Amino acid sequence: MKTAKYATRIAAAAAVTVCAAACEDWLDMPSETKYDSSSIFISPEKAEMAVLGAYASAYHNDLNYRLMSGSDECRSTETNSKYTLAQYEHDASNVPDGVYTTMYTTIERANSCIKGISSMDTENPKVAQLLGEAYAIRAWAYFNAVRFWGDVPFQLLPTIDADTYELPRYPRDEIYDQCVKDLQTAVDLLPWKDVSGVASERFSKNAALGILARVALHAAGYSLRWDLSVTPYTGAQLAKRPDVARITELYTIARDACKRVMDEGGHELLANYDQLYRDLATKKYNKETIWEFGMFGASQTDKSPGYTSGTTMPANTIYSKSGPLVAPMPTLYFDYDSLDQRRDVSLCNIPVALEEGALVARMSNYASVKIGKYRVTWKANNEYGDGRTNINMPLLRYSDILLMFAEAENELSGAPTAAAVKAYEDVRTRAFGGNADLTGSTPGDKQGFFEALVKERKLELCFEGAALRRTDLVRWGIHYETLRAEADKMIRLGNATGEYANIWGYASYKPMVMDKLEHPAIAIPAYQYYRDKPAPADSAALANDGYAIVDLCRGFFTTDDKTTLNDWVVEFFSGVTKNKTELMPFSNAMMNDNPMIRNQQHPGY
Amino acid sequence: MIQMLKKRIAAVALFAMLLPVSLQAQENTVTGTVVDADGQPLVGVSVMVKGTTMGTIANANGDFSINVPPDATLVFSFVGYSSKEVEVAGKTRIRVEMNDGQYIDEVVVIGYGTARRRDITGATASVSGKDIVKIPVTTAAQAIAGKIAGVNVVSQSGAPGADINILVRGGTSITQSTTPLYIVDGFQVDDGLRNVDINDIESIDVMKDASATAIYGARGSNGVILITTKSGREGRTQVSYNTYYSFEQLNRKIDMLGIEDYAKYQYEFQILRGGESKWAEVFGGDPTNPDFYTGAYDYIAKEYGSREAIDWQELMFGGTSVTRNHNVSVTSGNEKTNFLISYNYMGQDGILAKTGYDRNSIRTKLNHKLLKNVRLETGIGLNTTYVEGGGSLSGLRNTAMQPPTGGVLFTNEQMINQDNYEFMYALNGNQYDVRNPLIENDAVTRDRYTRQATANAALDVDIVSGLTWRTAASYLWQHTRNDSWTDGRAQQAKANSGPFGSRNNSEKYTWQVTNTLSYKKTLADVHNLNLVAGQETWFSESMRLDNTYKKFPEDNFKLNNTGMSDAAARETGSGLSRVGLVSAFGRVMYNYDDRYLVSATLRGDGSSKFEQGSKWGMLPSASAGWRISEESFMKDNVSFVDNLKLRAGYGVTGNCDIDNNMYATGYGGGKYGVGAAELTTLAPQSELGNPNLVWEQTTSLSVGIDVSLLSNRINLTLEWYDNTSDNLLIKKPIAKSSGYSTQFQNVGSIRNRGYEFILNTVNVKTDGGFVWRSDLNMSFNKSKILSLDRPPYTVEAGDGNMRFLVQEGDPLGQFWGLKYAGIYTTDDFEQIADDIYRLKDGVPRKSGLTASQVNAIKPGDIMFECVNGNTDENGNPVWTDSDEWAGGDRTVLGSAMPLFYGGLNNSVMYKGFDLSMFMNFSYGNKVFNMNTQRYAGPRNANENASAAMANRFTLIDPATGKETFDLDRLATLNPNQHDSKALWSLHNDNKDPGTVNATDYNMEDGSYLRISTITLGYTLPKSLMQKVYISSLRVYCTVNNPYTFTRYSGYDPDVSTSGSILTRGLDNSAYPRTRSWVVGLNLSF
Repeated sequence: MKTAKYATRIAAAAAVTVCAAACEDWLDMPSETKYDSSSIFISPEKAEMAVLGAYASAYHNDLNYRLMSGSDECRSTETNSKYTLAQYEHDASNVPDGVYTTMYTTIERANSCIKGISSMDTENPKVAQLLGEAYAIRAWAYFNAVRFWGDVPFQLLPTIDADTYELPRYPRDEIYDQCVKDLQTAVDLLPWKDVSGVASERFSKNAALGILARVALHAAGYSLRWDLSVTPYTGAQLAKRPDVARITELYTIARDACKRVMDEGGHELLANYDQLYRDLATKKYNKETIWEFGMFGASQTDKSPGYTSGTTMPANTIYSKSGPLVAPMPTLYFDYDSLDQRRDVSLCNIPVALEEGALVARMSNYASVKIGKYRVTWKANNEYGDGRTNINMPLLRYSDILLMFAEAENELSGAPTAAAVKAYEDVRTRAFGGNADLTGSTPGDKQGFFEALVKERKLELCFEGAALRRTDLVRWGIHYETLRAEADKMIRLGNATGEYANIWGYASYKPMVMDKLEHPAIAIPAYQYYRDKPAPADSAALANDGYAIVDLCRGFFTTDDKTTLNDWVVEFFSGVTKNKTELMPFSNAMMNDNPMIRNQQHPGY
Repeated sequence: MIQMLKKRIAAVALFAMLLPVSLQAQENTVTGTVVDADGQPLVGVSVMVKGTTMGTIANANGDFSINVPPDATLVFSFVGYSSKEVEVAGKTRIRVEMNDGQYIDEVVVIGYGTARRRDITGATASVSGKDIVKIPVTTAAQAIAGKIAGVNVVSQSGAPGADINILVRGGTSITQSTTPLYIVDGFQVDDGLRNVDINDIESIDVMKDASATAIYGARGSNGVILITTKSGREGRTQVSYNTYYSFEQLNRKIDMLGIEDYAKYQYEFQILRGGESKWAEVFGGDPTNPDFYTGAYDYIAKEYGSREAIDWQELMFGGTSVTRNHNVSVTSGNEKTNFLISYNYMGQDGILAKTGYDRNSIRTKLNHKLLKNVRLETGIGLNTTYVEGGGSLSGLRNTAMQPPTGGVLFTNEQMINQDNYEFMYALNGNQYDVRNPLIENDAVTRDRYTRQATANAALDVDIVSGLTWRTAASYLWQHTRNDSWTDGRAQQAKANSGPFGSRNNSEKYTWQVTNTLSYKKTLADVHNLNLVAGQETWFSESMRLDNTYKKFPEDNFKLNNTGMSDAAARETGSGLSRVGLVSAFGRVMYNYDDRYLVSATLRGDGSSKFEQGSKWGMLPSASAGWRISEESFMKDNVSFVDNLKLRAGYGVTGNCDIDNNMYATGYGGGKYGVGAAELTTLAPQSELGNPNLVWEQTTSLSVGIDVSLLSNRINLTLEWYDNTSDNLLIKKPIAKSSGYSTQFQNVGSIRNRGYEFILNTVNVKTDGGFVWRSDLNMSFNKSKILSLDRPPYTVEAGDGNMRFLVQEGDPLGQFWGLKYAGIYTTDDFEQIADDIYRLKDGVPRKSGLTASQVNAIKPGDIMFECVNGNTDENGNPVWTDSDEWAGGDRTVLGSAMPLFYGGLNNSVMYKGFDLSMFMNFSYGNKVFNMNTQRYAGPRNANENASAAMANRFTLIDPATGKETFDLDRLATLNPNQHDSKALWSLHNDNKDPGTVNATDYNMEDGSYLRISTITLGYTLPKSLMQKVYISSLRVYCTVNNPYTFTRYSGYDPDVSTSGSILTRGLDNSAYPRTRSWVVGLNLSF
């Protein structure tokens, strides 16, 4: 019995001793389903997956939705907080912060990639390309945060290596300069698109140059500024950065970047404007495409451009469902020349509804025109059902390169150079089907050329480039003035006065049955236009012949007798304020989670 | 040969010892009966003559007969009962009642050992299996609801197999689990109160304070529930059969508008929206006829006043469902070996079609003495569970809001048998959201199958007297399959291009090995020692494989032929997780002469959930007790006090109930579309790892007093506790500029303080066998967030219809939103022209309204309180739907946590009859009735609304059938407009404030007193039964949930659709609780 007792004691003592050493190891149970940073940057293949992961978060739905509305090209069709936002009536409680959040997710991913890939063999061209992509993605993400929020937290290290992740605002000029530097590094590391066959959804040297130009133009332009050293902040003013020499440098960087792309020769403008978006819908790529955000696949859960910013299409059809929540500014339709091919492509007047089992497109009134660039009727299939339209977001096209080049040249030379004029006219001529006689004259002075560019960028690039128009207006210093003018235009349009005195009031047309994919239709043409409502007898005769009549101005009014304009027509941009709404406030959630910016709210809010 | 000789010598010696006694005194034959406190005969009680070895055993009727000297004292003893001494004093017939010693001599399980209740210094409470089995409910969790002080049991809904929230002393965590630790026969088991069959339970012991739970250290902070299952017994073979049948019905219905009120409601709804032609299409009439308007109300009364309404609730829930329960167990054994085999079947149908709960379980226990000092215990259990319909029910809203009539369009049959959704949807301009619930319910199938096998074994070796080594091991395997099928008739199927379904499989295995060395010894009669030291290792691994299949053609074999689904639309997911725990622990219990009791434990736990170097937590506790009643000054002077014990405990317990691997930042897979392909990505997930994470710790202080008076007729326990949890493991939102959204951090602390009060009394007891007992328990708990390390925030629940505040210095469970301030009355407006009125200056309004929006405000619109006192630029008070700290007017609306809750049981026994009534109660908590909020209007046309809406503010003048803009007329039509709870009009501006926003209008007093069960049983006389070889037969009937005293207007105030402690008290389409009638019998032979 005594032996048993001792044996037990020894066993117990041994168990405790062995455990102390062995248990710690036994308890080490790393995840069976997830990698961590130490297990990724060991092969180019895994590193590539990490870089693709950085791309995956580099875009947010708001960029073709809530932040795209509220410009002279796009409005909200909702009546809730999204509408309020589009009217600039928002504050910290309802301002969306999805772009901010996803861009910082992207920055963290890019920072991790830059650190991880830098430790690999960068002589390997594949590794070098990945590193270049990581730099370009980081710049893209910071660019998006800065253009909407101004001075924002700044970090170039992965969060895990940083001392703190609670960071205060950091001067935007320095962030922009870092973006320029990162993109320049990326340009050096990345191959040309056509040489190595870089996919349009990834950064090529061409894409990095184009984004470099875009960032440089933003960095050189106006933004809302205030003194960061005194809190609470006051005295926000729209201004350019103080160092004039650097501004010139930035314009030069922009011009040279565009020029490199133009000189390289891999890109050209497509003959037909609609082909750009037919290619987008059918997943074809062309010589004008430079960079797109990839939205293809069964896992793509975001409502891609084809849904939120598409045209109207019911569920369960051969096409995927589309429920647009933003629409073009009704004035945009009239900004186009009637012969400009871009109008009916950019603006779609054929909403589709189910009528007795058939899909029928009917001509819409002015107010109901929808964005046409991402229309689902041009798709080749409905592979992933209603939630996923699989239409990529175009972020950079060759025509943008040409227009940026023209703008930078104009700024640097103080007048439109021949090269600048040619770039501008190339874009415009294409819009009129190659007929240079229709494009009108090109202004020869700096201001006139600038104004022509401001308009042309809208006509050419509307709804593209990730809510680009909004920050273009800010960097030009004309955000407030343009929107106020646009609001006045809307009231004139609603009342059919001024430049809109002669718009058509009614149209007859033939409804169109939509029964095939890759549908050829661009718009429903009017059979006849009318100033006033056709007489009942005429209407009956038209109906007999299969024509229907649309009251083109009905949507602006509350009732059929068209006595009272709808609130949304008269309230446009009610909250837009000079030296305030050029930048967005921090949201409450952003400030709650980060004590360093709690006292750093935008001074206008 | 030698053995035999020894036996003979022993027999002779015994005879020799007894001989002198029988020679010395004249002996009487004493006969008698031994009964228990309920007057039932006790079988097998040993009856000894004090100071001798003479004795006998009471027979099956509790009768005994013994020859003793007239001055002898008889000692009655029986396992589990306090011994009793009775002086014969010349009597020849003695009736002895033995107390089952429930309160002081009862042996309770304390974790790695047992102890007499009187030796316990921590806060524990017990329920015996005997009590549980008398109550016909499906799970033990329901059986203990209201029976244990400090344990709050709330079921999430009345659905069969619904989840149950169990909270011990308020819970200790904010964002992490507050589920107690379940230990079944020494092994950690998930959801033990639901997984172990009631009939198999010997006892449930709940450890509430740290001095009791600290032996479970790291996992003990939310309390520990120890379940001991029944074992085989020595003696002759015993077969028991318990069964019951239960018939369940809907307890109460929600009042919705009757058919005439519904038609009027729809009329007003449409008139206000210019939709009279739409109304006429459904209800008849011709809007082009001027009489249409003036005659509308007469027409409605004539046409719809006497129509038969469709009672959708009756159609959906109106039936009677049956629950069947059968349990058979066989037990037998001899001094070396005993066994038990138990089989249980439970089948429960819900009152809603396609809901149910089905369980088969079999369990064996086999114990064997290998050697004199070596015992082997084994147990094997298998069980399968099938839950049909999942848990919560989404169809309740569809049911309540269905139109009670199809007007002139559909007959009642058409309404019931077809889904008119598409028609209504088109008619209402894409504004319709209630499907036919009968069809929807039939079209969606959700099944959960669980199969579980457990095996465990233990070896006990008595090394020397009092010193025992025990090695115990267990293995559990569990497989769960969740099937979901949505056929083509359902709305989602239409949106998903055809029928779809998913089959998700998960598998889990767990093992545990425990080694303990324990020592029990009494030295010099007064030093009582009870020591234990041990080591434990626990490991669990689970994996899952989820598959979703979509776009089936209409006709198919469902999930049995997934090949028919669209290959491109399949979705799949999988995962694996592992967790391990290594522990070493020890406990010392010492008492001096049963008077001074001390106990101390120390446990060290290492968890795989933390980074190397932070894995270990050391958790100590100590407690002490003083049994004043054992002191001679009490014992000698105060005879009516049987037990008086003071006790106090202090201890630290831990919690590591967070996801695995939170110390590292995980990179997860994703997709990015490049070209026409999806490429796999790797990226850090939204959670930032934290290598510095350590155990959450709860420090608990507890003081209690136990009193037993008048031969244990009155037993009282009072307890006070303070549990403070620090280093709370909180998933904290972190600066978005970090690139992550959350990180687990050890931040914040929370305190729970409270009292518990337990009173058990025997009110009446007569020699005739009439006994009336009462058991009352009450618990008072208050929580307070001591620190949070972040600004106050709110948690949304119920699709955002309610918010809960989380703020430093405040308790948990506070509803948060706008305060209802009545409606705009006609006094708030001035008449500008015959058909125009305008809101007066100085009347509150919502902030940020445009001039046209202000002009659109009508009498009967909802107002909210301007808590913050803000004004607009014109000086009018305004309210803002944002949080108080952000300058808005959302504020605290009430608390979901009760001031106190508890239970009261009364039982009466007489001559084989037993009658018991159990009531439970809760006081001072609010319930947010999200159902009535949703059922209030205005929502969409052709949807029904709650009956209360008949008393809405009306804007329609019945005389004209049109909206009146005359303030005086409106005042006349709406005499109740000044009521603080006046109901708003159907003006569209009231849609969100009335039916969606978080406000206190639908906050109701959730206090209740429920008559939970009434049971009447009859045990047939033993003498009679013996003739047919039955040792015991009891028949009973029970009414479950016969009545609830409450002001709550929903189905049931005892509801919480959410499992989170932050979002309690929300009644969101909970499956209604039923009333049931039960008949059953308990038989053993």
